[in-house]
Amino acid sequence: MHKKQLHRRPFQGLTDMAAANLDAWLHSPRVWMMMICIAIYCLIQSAGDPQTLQVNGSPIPFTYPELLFIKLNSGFFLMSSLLFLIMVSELPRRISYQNLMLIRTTRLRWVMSLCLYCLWMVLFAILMLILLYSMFALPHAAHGAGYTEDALIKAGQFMENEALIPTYIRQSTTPFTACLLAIVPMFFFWMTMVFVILLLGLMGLPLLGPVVYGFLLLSHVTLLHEAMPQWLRLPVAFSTLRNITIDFPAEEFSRLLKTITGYIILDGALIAGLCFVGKKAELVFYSENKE
Amino acid sequence: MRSELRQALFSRWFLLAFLVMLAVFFGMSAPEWFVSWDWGTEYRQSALQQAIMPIFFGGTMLLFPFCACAAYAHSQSEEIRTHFLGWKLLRGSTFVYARNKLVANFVASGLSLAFAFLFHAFIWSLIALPSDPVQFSTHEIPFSQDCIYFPWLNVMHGLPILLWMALGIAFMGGVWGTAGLAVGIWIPDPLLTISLPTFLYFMWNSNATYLLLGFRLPHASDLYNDALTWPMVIHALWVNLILLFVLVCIYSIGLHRRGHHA
Repeated sequence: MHKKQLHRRPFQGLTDMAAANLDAWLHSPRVWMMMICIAIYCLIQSAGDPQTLQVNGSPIPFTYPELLFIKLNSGFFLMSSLLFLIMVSELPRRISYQNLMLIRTTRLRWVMSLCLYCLWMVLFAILMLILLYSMFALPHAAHGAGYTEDALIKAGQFMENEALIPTYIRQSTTPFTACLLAIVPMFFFWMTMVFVILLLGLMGLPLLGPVVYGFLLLSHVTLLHEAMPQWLRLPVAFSTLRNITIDFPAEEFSRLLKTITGYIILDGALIAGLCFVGKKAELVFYSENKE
Repeated sequence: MRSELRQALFSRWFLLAFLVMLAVFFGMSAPEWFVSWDWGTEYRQSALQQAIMPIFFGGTMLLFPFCACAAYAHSQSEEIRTHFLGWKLLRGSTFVYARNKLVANFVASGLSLAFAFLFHAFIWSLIALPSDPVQFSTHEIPFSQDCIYFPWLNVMHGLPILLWMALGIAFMGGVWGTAGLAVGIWIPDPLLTISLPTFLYFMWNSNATYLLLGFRLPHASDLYNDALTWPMVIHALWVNLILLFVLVCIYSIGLHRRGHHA
Protein backbone atom coordinates (compact mmCIF):
# COMPACT_ATOMS: atom_id res chain seq x y z
CA MET A 1 0.00 0.00 0.00
CA HIS A 2 1.22 3.52 -0.79
CA LYS A 3 2.78 5.44 2.13
CA LYS A 4 0.23 8.25 1.83
CA GLN A 5 -2.60 5.79 2.15
CA LEU A 6 -0.97 4.20 5.18
CA HIS A 7 -0.82 7.57 6.94
CA ARG A 8 -4.43 8.37 6.09
CA ARG A 9 -5.64 5.20 7.75
CA PRO A 10 -3.36 4.66 10.74
CA PHE A 11 -5.76 2.31 12.49
CA GLN A 12 -6.56 0.28 9.44
CA GLY A 13 -6.71 -3.36 10.17
CA LEU A 14 -6.51 -2.93 13.97
CA THR A 15 -10.03 -4.13 14.61
CA ASP A 16 -9.65 -6.87 12.00
CA MET A 17 -6.52 -8.25 13.65
CA ALA A 18 -8.03 -7.94 17.13
CA ALA A 19 -11.17 -9.70 15.90
CA ALA A 20 -9.06 -12.50 14.40
CA ASN A 21 -7.30 -13.03 17.72
CA LEU A 22 -10.58 -12.90 19.62
CA ASP A 23 -12.12 -15.42 17.25
CA ALA A 24 -9.19 -17.81 17.70
CA TRP A 25 -9.45 -17.33 21.48
CA LEU A 26 -13.18 -18.01 21.54
CA HIS A 27 -12.65 -21.21 19.56
CA SER A 28 -10.16 -22.55 22.08
CA PRO A 29 -11.40 -25.56 24.12
CA ARG A 30 -9.55 -24.14 27.10
CA VAL A 31 -11.74 -21.03 27.01
CA TRP A 32 -14.92 -23.05 26.69
CA MET A 33 -13.98 -25.32 29.57
CA MET A 34 -13.32 -22.30 31.74
CA MET A 35 -16.63 -20.75 30.68
CA ILE A 36 -18.37 -23.92 31.81
CA CYS A 37 -16.46 -23.71 35.10
CA ILE A 38 -17.52 -20.08 35.51
CA ALA A 39 -21.14 -21.09 34.87
CA ILE A 40 -20.92 -23.82 37.52
CA TYR A 41 -19.24 -21.38 39.88
CA CYS A 42 -22.01 -18.81 39.38
CA LEU A 43 -24.60 -21.52 39.95
CA ILE A 44 -22.95 -22.51 43.24
CA GLN A 45 -22.67 -18.87 44.30
CA SER A 46 -26.33 -18.14 43.64
CA ALA A 47 -27.43 -21.42 45.25
CA GLY A 48 -25.42 -20.53 48.34
CA ASP A 49 -26.86 -17.02 48.69
CA PRO A 50 -29.88 -18.01 50.81
CA GLN A 51 -27.54 -19.75 53.29
CA THR A 52 -24.83 -17.12 53.47
CA LEU A 53 -26.90 -13.93 53.26
CA GLN A 54 -29.14 -14.21 56.29
CA VAL A 55 -30.55 -12.16 59.14
CA ASN A 56 -31.99 -13.88 62.22
CA GLY A 57 -31.82 -17.21 60.42
CA SER A 58 -33.84 -16.05 57.42
CA PRO A 59 -32.47 -15.19 53.97
CA ILE A 60 -32.27 -11.46 53.37
CA PRO A 61 -34.55 -10.51 50.44
CA PHE A 62 -31.89 -8.74 48.41
CA THR A 63 -32.83 -7.43 44.99
CA TYR A 64 -30.83 -8.51 41.97
CA PRO A 65 -28.58 -5.38 41.77
CA GLU A 66 -27.76 -5.77 45.46
CA LEU A 67 -26.83 -9.44 45.01
CA LEU A 68 -24.67 -8.58 42.02
CA PHE A 69 -22.95 -5.79 43.94
CA ILE A 70 -22.16 -8.09 46.87
CA LYS A 71 -20.55 -10.57 44.46
CA LEU A 72 -18.63 -7.96 42.49
CA ASN A 73 -17.55 -6.18 45.68
CA SER A 74 -15.59 -9.20 46.88
CA GLY A 75 -17.38 -12.50 46.36
CA PHE A 76 -16.41 -13.23 42.77
CA PHE A 77 -12.86 -12.16 42.86
CA LEU A 78 -10.55 -15.09 43.59
CA MET A 79 -12.07 -17.99 41.68
CA SER A 80 -13.22 -15.93 38.70
CA SER A 81 -9.77 -14.32 38.45
CA LEU A 82 -8.09 -17.73 38.56
CA LEU A 83 -10.41 -19.07 35.86
CA PHE A 84 -9.86 -15.97 33.74
CA LEU A 85 -6.11 -16.32 34.26
CA ILE A 86 -6.27 -19.79 32.71
CA MET A 87 -8.27 -18.41 29.78
CA VAL A 88 -5.65 -15.76 29.04
CA SER A 89 -2.60 -17.87 29.91
CA GLU A 90 -1.36 -17.89 26.32
CA LEU A 91 -0.72 -14.33 25.14
CA PRO A 92 -0.16 -13.69 22.34
CA ARG A 93 -1.69 -16.81 20.90
CA ARG A 94 1.01 -18.87 19.26
CA ILE A 95 -0.66 -19.57 15.97
CA SER A 96 0.98 -19.29 12.57
CA TYR A 97 -1.66 -16.70 11.63
CA GLN A 98 0.33 -14.19 13.71
CA ASN A 99 3.17 -14.49 11.16
CA LEU A 100 0.78 -13.55 8.36
CA MET A 101 -0.42 -10.52 10.30
CA LEU A 102 3.15 -9.44 11.02
CA ILE A 103 3.96 -9.63 7.31
CA ARG A 104 0.92 -7.58 6.32
CA THR A 105 1.18 -4.80 8.85
CA THR A 106 3.60 -2.88 11.04
CA ARG A 107 4.77 -4.18 14.40
CA LEU A 108 3.22 -1.19 16.17
CA ARG A 109 -0.20 -1.83 14.68
CA TRP A 110 0.08 -5.48 15.50
CA VAL A 111 0.85 -4.67 19.15
CA MET A 112 -2.01 -2.16 19.30
CA SER A 113 -4.34 -4.78 17.87
CA LEU A 114 -3.22 -7.12 20.66
CA CYS A 115 -4.02 -4.41 23.22
CA LEU A 116 -7.47 -4.02 21.70
CA TYR A 117 -7.88 -7.80 21.76
CA CYS A 118 -6.96 -7.80 25.47
CA LEU A 119 -9.58 -5.13 26.14
CA TRP A 120 -12.23 -7.15 24.33
CA MET A 121 -11.25 -10.31 26.24
CA VAL A 122 -11.61 -8.60 29.60
CA LEU A 123 -14.95 -7.01 28.67
CA PHE A 124 -16.20 -10.34 27.34
CA ALA A 125 -15.18 -12.18 30.51
CA ILE A 126 -16.82 -9.62 32.80
CA LEU A 127 -19.96 -9.65 30.68
CA MET A 128 -20.14 -13.45 30.75
CA LEU A 129 -19.59 -13.50 34.50
CA ILE A 130 -22.44 -11.06 35.06
CA LEU A 131 -24.75 -12.76 32.56
CA LEU A 132 -24.15 -16.22 33.98
CA TYR A 133 -24.67 -15.08 37.56
CA SER A 134 -27.79 -13.15 36.53
CA MET A 135 -29.21 -16.26 34.88
CA PHE A 136 -29.08 -18.13 38.18
CA ALA A 137 -29.72 -15.30 40.64
CA LEU A 138 -32.62 -13.48 38.98
CA PRO A 139 -35.21 -16.21 39.64
CA HIS A 140 -34.74 -16.02 43.43
CA ALA A 141 -33.92 -12.32 43.78
CA ALA A 142 -36.48 -10.08 45.45
CA HIS A 143 -38.14 -7.21 43.62
CA GLY A 144 -38.06 -3.60 44.66
CA ALA A 145 -36.05 -0.41 44.63
CA GLY A 146 -33.49 1.01 47.01
CA TYR A 147 -31.44 -0.93 49.54
CA THR A 148 -33.00 -3.79 51.49
CA GLU A 149 -30.60 -3.32 54.40
CA ASP A 150 -31.74 0.28 54.93
CA ALA A 151 -35.24 -1.02 55.59
CA LEU A 152 -33.91 -3.78 57.87
CA ILE A 153 -31.81 -1.30 59.85
CA LYS A 154 -34.80 1.03 60.25
CA ALA A 155 -36.91 -1.90 61.43
CA GLY A 156 -34.23 -2.78 63.99
CA GLN A 157 -33.52 -6.23 62.54
CA PHE A 158 -30.03 -5.29 61.46
CA MET A 159 -27.13 -3.32 62.93
CA GLU A 160 -25.30 -0.82 60.75
CA ASN A 161 -21.99 -2.62 61.20
CA GLU A 162 -23.55 -5.92 60.11
CA ALA A 163 -24.56 -4.57 56.70
CA LEU A 164 -23.07 -6.39 53.72
CA ILE A 165 -23.39 -3.34 51.51
CA PRO A 166 -21.16 -0.60 52.95
CA THR A 167 -22.76 2.56 54.32
CA TYR A 168 -20.97 4.89 51.90
CA ILE A 169 -22.47 2.93 48.98
CA ARG A 170 -25.99 2.94 50.41
CA GLN A 171 -25.83 6.66 51.14
CA SER A 172 -24.31 7.82 47.86
CA THR A 173 -25.35 5.56 45.03
CA THR A 174 -28.21 3.57 43.62
CA PRO A 175 -27.82 -0.23 43.51
CA PHE A 176 -27.20 -0.18 39.77
CA THR A 177 -24.53 2.54 40.05
CA ALA A 178 -22.94 0.59 42.87
CA CYS A 179 -22.59 -2.42 40.54
CA LEU A 180 -20.87 -0.26 37.94
CA LEU A 181 -18.54 1.09 40.61
CA ALA A 182 -17.70 -2.42 41.76
CA ILE A 183 -16.87 -3.55 38.20
CA VAL A 184 -14.28 -0.80 37.71
CA PRO A 185 -11.47 -2.10 40.00
CA MET A 186 -11.95 -5.65 38.73
CA PHE A 187 -11.78 -4.41 35.15
CA PHE A 188 -8.54 -2.55 35.76
CA PHE A 189 -6.99 -5.45 37.71
CA TRP A 190 -7.79 -7.85 34.89
CA MET A 191 -6.56 -5.41 32.21
CA THR A 192 -3.26 -5.00 34.05
CA MET A 193 -3.02 -8.76 34.39
CA VAL A 194 -3.46 -9.42 30.66
CA PHE A 195 -1.06 -6.61 29.75
CA VAL A 196 1.61 -8.05 32.05
CA ILE A 197 1.11 -11.56 30.63
CA LEU A 198 1.24 -10.17 27.08
CA LEU A 199 4.39 -8.18 27.81
CA LEU A 200 6.16 -11.19 29.28
CA GLY A 201 4.92 -13.29 26.36
CA LEU A 202 6.46 -10.88 23.86
CA MET A 203 9.69 -10.95 25.86
CA GLY A 204 9.92 -14.70 25.37
CA LEU A 205 8.69 -15.62 28.88
CA PRO A 206 5.19 -16.94 28.17
CA LEU A 207 4.83 -18.98 31.35
CA LEU A 208 6.15 -16.38 33.74
CA GLY A 209 3.10 -14.11 33.54
CA PRO A 210 0.52 -16.75 34.54
CA VAL A 211 2.85 -18.08 37.26
CA VAL A 212 3.41 -14.60 38.72
CA TYR A 213 -0.27 -13.76 38.71
CA GLY A 214 -1.22 -17.18 40.04
CA PHE A 215 1.10 -16.52 42.95
CA LEU A 216 -0.26 -13.00 43.44
CA LEU A 217 -3.86 -14.16 43.43
CA LEU A 218 -3.22 -16.89 45.96
CA SER A 219 -0.67 -15.04 48.07
CA HIS A 220 -3.20 -13.41 50.36
CA VAL A 221 -4.48 -16.88 51.22
CA THR A 222 -1.25 -18.86 51.28
CA LEU A 223 0.91 -16.26 53.00
CA LEU A 224 0.20 -14.96 56.48
CA HIS A 225 -0.07 -11.43 55.20
CA GLU A 226 -1.36 -10.14 58.54
CA ALA A 227 2.16 -10.67 59.86
CA MET A 228 3.66 -8.61 57.08
CA PRO A 229 4.45 -4.89 57.44
CA GLN A 230 1.50 -2.56 56.81
CA TRP A 231 3.31 -0.72 54.05
CA LEU A 232 3.74 -3.93 52.07
CA ARG A 233 0.46 -4.19 50.22
CA LEU A 234 -0.06 -7.07 47.87
CA PRO A 235 -1.56 -6.21 44.44
CA VAL A 236 -4.71 -8.01 45.52
CA ALA A 237 -5.29 -5.08 47.90
CA PHE A 238 -6.23 -3.04 44.82
CA SER A 239 -8.33 -5.65 43.07
CA THR A 240 -11.88 -5.17 44.37
CA LEU A 241 -13.88 -2.22 45.68
CA ARG A 242 -13.95 -3.76 49.14
CA ASN A 243 -10.19 -4.34 49.30
CA ILE A 244 -9.50 -0.78 48.14
CA THR A 245 -11.82 0.97 50.57
CA ILE A 246 -12.04 -1.22 53.66
CA ASP A 247 -9.12 0.35 55.52
CA PHE A 248 -10.04 3.93 54.62
CA PRO A 249 -13.36 4.92 56.19
CA ALA A 250 -14.78 8.32 55.18
CA GLU A 251 -12.43 8.58 52.18
CA GLU A 252 -13.61 5.67 50.08
CA PHE A 253 -14.28 7.59 46.88
CA SER A 254 -10.99 9.47 46.94
CA ARG A 255 -9.19 6.20 47.58
CA LEU A 256 -11.01 4.62 44.64
CA LEU A 257 -10.14 7.56 42.43
CA LYS A 258 -6.45 7.36 43.37
CA THR A 259 -6.43 3.63 42.65
CA ILE A 260 -8.02 4.13 39.23
CA THR A 261 -5.54 6.89 38.44
CA GLY A 262 -2.72 4.57 39.44
CA TYR A 263 -4.08 1.83 37.23
CA ILE A 264 -4.40 4.18 34.24
CA ILE A 265 -0.79 5.28 34.66
CA LEU A 266 0.39 1.70 35.10
CA ASP A 267 -1.57 0.43 32.09
CA GLY A 268 -0.30 3.34 30.03
CA ALA A 269 3.25 2.40 30.95
CA LEU A 270 2.54 -1.22 30.10
CA ILE A 271 1.16 -0.26 26.69
CA ALA A 272 4.27 1.86 26.06
CA GLY A 273 6.41 -1.08 27.13
CA LEU A 274 4.44 -3.37 24.82
CA CYS A 275 5.05 -1.04 21.89
CA PHE A 276 8.77 -0.89 22.67
CA VAL A 277 9.18 -4.63 23.21
CA GLY A 278 6.94 -5.49 20.27
CA LYS A 279 9.16 -3.50 17.92
CA LYS A 280 12.38 -5.13 19.13
CA ALA A 281 11.34 -8.67 20.01
CA GLU A 282 12.11 -11.68 17.90
CA LEU A 283 8.72 -13.13 17.17
CA VAL A 284 8.42 -16.68 15.94
CA PHE A 285 5.02 -18.28 16.02
CA TYR A 286 4.29 -21.86 15.15
CA SER A 287 1.39 -24.08 16.00
CA GLU A 288 2.65 -26.26 18.84
CA ASN A 289 -0.10 -25.79 21.34
CA LYS A 290 -3.23 -25.18 19.40
CA GLU A 291 -6.43 -26.70 20.57
CA MET B 1 6.81 -50.08 35.95
CA ARG B 2 10.28 -49.29 37.24
CA SER B 3 11.03 -46.91 34.39
CA GLU B 4 7.65 -45.22 34.80
CA LEU B 5 8.26 -44.73 38.52
CA ARG B 6 11.74 -43.44 37.87
CA GLN B 7 10.39 -41.01 35.30
CA ALA B 8 7.71 -39.83 37.74
CA LEU B 9 9.86 -39.46 40.84
CA PHE B 10 12.97 -37.97 39.27
CA SER B 11 11.33 -35.30 37.15
CA ARG B 12 11.46 -31.54 37.57
CA TRP B 13 7.66 -31.50 37.88
CA PHE B 14 7.83 -33.69 40.97
CA LEU B 15 10.36 -31.27 42.38
CA LEU B 16 8.14 -28.31 41.43
CA ALA B 17 5.11 -29.81 43.19
CA PHE B 18 7.27 -30.50 46.25
CA LEU B 19 8.70 -26.98 46.30
CA VAL B 20 5.37 -25.23 45.75
CA MET B 21 3.76 -27.20 48.57
CA LEU B 22 6.74 -26.48 50.79
CA ALA B 23 6.48 -22.78 49.99
CA VAL B 24 2.78 -22.84 50.90
CA PHE B 25 3.55 -24.49 54.24
CA PHE B 26 6.31 -22.05 55.10
CA GLY B 27 4.25 -19.11 53.82
CA MET B 28 1.93 -19.61 56.78
CA SER B 29 4.26 -20.97 59.46
CA ALA B 30 7.32 -18.76 58.95
CA PRO B 31 5.59 -15.36 59.40
CA GLU B 32 3.87 -16.71 62.50
CA TRP B 33 7.29 -17.64 63.93
CA PHE B 34 8.87 -14.29 63.04
CA VAL B 35 6.02 -12.33 64.61
CA SER B 36 6.63 -14.11 67.93
CA TRP B 37 10.39 -13.59 67.99
CA ASP B 38 10.31 -11.60 71.25
CA TRP B 39 7.83 -13.76 73.17
CA GLY B 40 10.35 -15.96 74.92
CA THR B 41 11.05 -19.62 74.12
CA GLU B 42 8.44 -21.04 76.47
CA TYR B 43 5.65 -18.94 74.95
CA ARG B 44 6.36 -19.65 71.29
CA GLN B 45 4.63 -22.38 69.37
CA SER B 46 5.95 -25.90 69.50
CA ALA B 47 7.38 -27.74 66.52
CA LEU B 48 4.15 -29.72 66.22
CA GLN B 49 2.02 -26.57 66.21
CA GLN B 50 4.23 -24.96 63.59
CA ALA B 51 4.07 -28.09 61.44
CA ILE B 52 0.31 -28.50 61.44
CA MET B 53 -0.79 -24.87 61.48
CA PRO B 54 -0.68 -24.44 57.66
CA ILE B 55 -2.94 -27.46 57.31
CA PHE B 56 -5.47 -26.22 59.85
CA PHE B 57 -5.43 -22.53 59.06
CA GLY B 58 -3.55 -21.93 55.83
CA GLY B 59 -4.21 -21.89 52.10
CA THR B 60 -2.93 -25.43 51.64
CA MET B 61 -6.39 -26.43 50.46
CA LEU B 62 -6.21 -24.18 47.41
CA LEU B 63 -2.90 -25.46 46.13
CA PHE B 64 -3.25 -29.08 47.21
CA PRO B 65 -4.86 -30.41 43.99
CA PHE B 66 -2.68 -28.11 41.87
CA CYS B 67 0.47 -29.68 43.27
CA ALA B 68 -1.01 -33.17 43.18
CA CYS B 69 -1.78 -32.88 39.46
CA ALA B 70 1.40 -31.00 38.58
CA ALA B 71 3.60 -33.80 39.95
CA TYR B 72 3.03 -36.24 37.06
CA ALA B 73 -0.51 -36.12 35.63
CA HIS B 74 0.42 -33.67 32.88
CA SER B 75 2.69 -36.34 31.34
CA GLN B 76 -0.44 -38.03 29.99
CA SER B 77 -1.36 -35.06 27.82
CA GLU B 78 2.25 -34.77 26.68
CA GLU B 79 2.30 -38.40 25.57
CA ILE B 80 -0.91 -37.88 23.62
CA ARG B 81 0.32 -34.71 21.91
CA THR B 82 3.66 -36.27 20.93
CA HIS B 83 1.91 -39.49 19.79
CA PHE B 84 4.21 -41.39 22.12
CA LEU B 85 1.13 -42.98 23.64
CA GLY B 86 0.60 -45.04 20.51
CA TRP B 87 4.14 -46.41 20.63
CA LYS B 88 3.86 -47.27 24.31
CA LEU B 89 0.58 -49.08 23.75
CA LEU B 90 2.15 -51.02 20.87
CA ARG B 91 5.04 -52.16 23.07
CA GLY B 92 2.79 -53.48 25.80
CA SER B 93 -0.90 -53.77 26.45
CA THR B 94 -3.47 -51.18 27.40
CA PHE B 95 -3.81 -52.82 30.80
CA VAL B 96 -0.06 -52.70 31.49
CA TYR B 97 0.17 -49.09 30.36
CA ALA B 98 -2.81 -48.07 32.48
CA ARG B 99 -1.50 -49.92 35.52
CA ASN B 100 1.96 -48.39 35.27
CA LYS B 101 0.63 -44.91 34.65
CA LEU B 102 -1.94 -44.98 37.44
CA VAL B 103 0.46 -46.41 40.01
CA ALA B 104 3.32 -44.09 39.10
CA ASN B 105 1.03 -41.06 39.09
CA PHE B 106 -0.57 -42.02 42.43
CA VAL B 107 2.83 -42.53 44.04
CA ALA B 108 4.36 -39.35 42.58
CA SER B 109 1.38 -37.15 43.49
CA GLY B 110 1.13 -38.51 47.02
CA LEU B 111 4.84 -38.55 47.77
CA SER B 112 5.48 -35.01 46.49
CA LEU B 113 2.94 -33.62 48.95
CA ALA B 114 3.72 -35.93 51.85
CA PHE B 115 7.46 -35.28 51.54
CA ALA B 116 6.80 -31.54 51.56
CA PHE B 117 4.76 -31.87 54.74
CA LEU B 118 7.31 -34.11 56.46
CA PHE B 119 10.25 -31.96 55.39
CA HIS B 120 8.43 -28.88 56.68
CA ALA B 121 7.79 -30.68 59.99
CA PHE B 122 11.43 -31.79 60.12
CA ILE B 123 12.70 -28.23 59.68
CA TRP B 124 10.47 -26.99 62.49
CA SER B 125 11.64 -29.84 64.72
CA LEU B 126 15.12 -28.33 64.40
CA ILE B 127 14.00 -24.77 65.10
CA ALA B 128 11.16 -24.94 67.62
CA LEU B 129 10.78 -26.79 70.91
CA PRO B 130 9.36 -30.32 70.76
CA SER B 131 5.72 -30.44 71.74
CA ASP B 132 5.37 -30.84 75.52
CA PRO B 133 1.92 -29.74 76.72
CA VAL B 134 2.68 -31.04 80.22
CA GLN B 135 5.57 -28.67 80.72
CA PHE B 136 4.45 -25.78 78.51
CA SER B 137 0.77 -24.82 78.53
CA THR B 138 1.19 -22.93 75.24
CA HIS B 139 1.93 -26.24 73.52
CA GLU B 140 -1.59 -27.43 74.25
CA ILE B 141 -3.69 -28.04 71.13
CA PRO B 142 -7.41 -28.08 72.05
CA PHE B 143 -8.40 -31.34 70.37
CA SER B 144 -11.71 -32.72 71.58
CA GLN B 145 -11.64 -36.04 73.44
CA ASP B 146 -13.13 -38.01 70.58
CA CYS B 147 -10.67 -36.56 68.06
CA ILE B 148 -8.24 -39.22 66.84
CA TYR B 149 -5.29 -36.93 67.56
CA PHE B 150 -6.14 -36.45 71.24
CA PRO B 151 -4.43 -39.59 72.64
CA TRP B 152 -1.36 -39.01 70.44
CA LEU B 153 -0.62 -35.51 71.64
CA ASN B 154 1.74 -36.67 74.39
CA VAL B 155 3.24 -39.59 72.48
CA MET B 156 6.76 -38.92 71.14
CA HIS B 157 6.08 -35.18 70.95
CA GLY B 158 3.11 -35.73 68.63
CA LEU B 159 4.99 -37.80 66.04
CA PRO B 160 2.00 -40.16 65.41
CA ILE B 161 -0.09 -37.09 64.51
CA LEU B 162 2.47 -36.02 61.94
CA LEU B 163 2.75 -39.51 60.48
CA TRP B 164 -1.03 -39.87 60.26
CA MET B 165 -1.36 -36.52 58.53
CA ALA B 166 1.45 -37.38 56.11
CA LEU B 167 -0.31 -40.64 55.27
CA GLY B 168 -3.62 -38.84 54.75
CA ILE B 169 -1.97 -36.19 52.59
CA ALA B 170 -0.23 -38.86 50.51
CA PHE B 171 -3.47 -40.77 49.94
CA MET B 172 -5.50 -37.68 49.05
CA GLY B 173 -2.68 -36.42 46.84
CA GLY B 174 -2.75 -39.71 44.98
CA VAL B 175 -6.54 -39.52 44.55
CA TRP B 176 -6.48 -35.99 43.16
CA GLY B 177 -3.45 -36.79 41.02
CA THR B 178 -5.56 -39.55 39.49
CA ALA B 179 -8.22 -36.92 38.79
CA GLY B 180 -5.59 -35.03 36.78
CA LEU B 181 -4.79 -38.19 34.85
CA ALA B 182 -8.49 -38.80 34.13
CA VAL B 183 -8.78 -35.26 32.74
CA GLY B 184 -5.55 -35.56 30.76
CA ILE B 185 -6.60 -38.68 28.85
CA TRP B 186 -9.76 -36.94 27.59
CA ILE B 187 -8.48 -33.37 27.22
CA PRO B 188 -4.76 -33.36 26.35
CA ASP B 189 -4.15 -29.84 27.60
CA PRO B 190 -1.54 -29.69 30.39
CA LEU B 191 -3.08 -26.56 31.91
CA LEU B 192 -6.56 -28.06 32.04
CA THR B 193 -5.09 -31.28 33.47
CA ILE B 194 -4.01 -29.23 36.45
CA SER B 195 -6.78 -26.64 36.67
CA LEU B 196 -9.94 -28.73 36.21
CA PRO B 197 -9.25 -31.02 39.20
CA THR B 198 -8.39 -27.90 41.21
CA PHE B 199 -11.74 -26.40 40.29
CA LEU B 200 -13.55 -29.64 41.16
CA TYR B 201 -11.74 -29.72 44.50
CA PHE B 202 -12.81 -26.15 45.17
CA MET B 203 -16.43 -26.97 44.30
CA TRP B 204 -16.29 -30.06 46.52
CA ASN B 205 -15.09 -27.98 49.47
CA SER B 206 -17.72 -25.31 48.76
CA ASN B 207 -20.45 -27.86 49.53
CA ALA B 208 -21.60 -27.86 45.92
CA THR B 209 -23.38 -31.21 46.31
CA TYR B 210 -25.32 -29.91 49.31
CA LEU B 211 -26.30 -26.67 47.59
CA LEU B 212 -27.33 -28.33 44.34
CA LEU B 213 -28.41 -31.83 45.27
CA GLY B 214 -29.12 -31.69 48.99
CA PHE B 215 -26.53 -34.11 50.36
CA ARG B 216 -23.15 -33.46 51.93
CA LEU B 217 -19.88 -35.15 51.09
CA PRO B 218 -17.00 -35.33 53.56
CA HIS B 219 -14.60 -32.43 53.28
CA ALA B 220 -11.81 -33.20 50.82
CA SER B 221 -9.22 -32.81 53.58
CA ASP B 222 -11.06 -34.96 56.10
CA LEU B 223 -8.36 -37.59 56.26
CA TYR B 224 -5.73 -35.24 57.65
CA ASN B 225 -7.45 -32.13 58.91
CA ASP B 226 -8.44 -31.29 62.47
CA ALA B 227 -11.54 -32.40 64.42
CA LEU B 228 -11.24 -35.92 62.98
CA THR B 229 -13.10 -38.76 64.61
CA TRP B 230 -12.87 -42.42 63.63
CA PRO B 231 -16.36 -42.48 62.06
CA MET B 232 -15.38 -39.43 59.98
CA VAL B 233 -12.19 -41.16 58.91
CA ILE B 234 -14.02 -44.30 57.81
CA HIS B 235 -16.68 -42.28 55.99
CA ALA B 236 -14.05 -40.16 54.24
CA LEU B 237 -12.05 -43.24 53.32
CA TRP B 238 -15.05 -44.89 51.71
CA VAL B 239 -16.03 -41.80 49.75
CA ASN B 240 -12.48 -41.29 48.50
CA LEU B 241 -12.09 -44.94 47.55
CA ILE B 242 -15.29 -44.69 45.51
CA LEU B 243 -13.99 -41.48 43.94
CA LEU B 244 -10.71 -43.21 43.11
CA PHE B 245 -12.57 -46.12 41.53
CA VAL B 246 -14.69 -43.76 39.42
CA LEU B 247 -11.59 -41.84 38.31
CA VAL B 248 -9.78 -45.05 37.37
CA CYS B 249 -12.82 -46.11 35.31
CA ILE B 250 -12.93 -42.74 33.54
CA TYR B 251 -9.23 -43.00 32.81
CA SER B 252 -9.50 -46.57 31.55
CA ILE B 253 -12.38 -45.74 29.21
CA GLY B 254 -10.45 -42.76 27.88
CA LEU B 255 -7.30 -44.81 27.37
CA HIS B 256 -9.25 -47.54 25.61
CA ARG B 257 -10.76 -44.94 23.30
CA ARG B 258 -7.35 -43.37 22.60
CA GLY B 259 -5.90 -46.79 21.92
CA HIS B 260 -8.60 -47.56 19.36
CA HIS B 261 -8.15 -44.26 17.54
CA ALA B 262 -4.38 -43.89 17.93
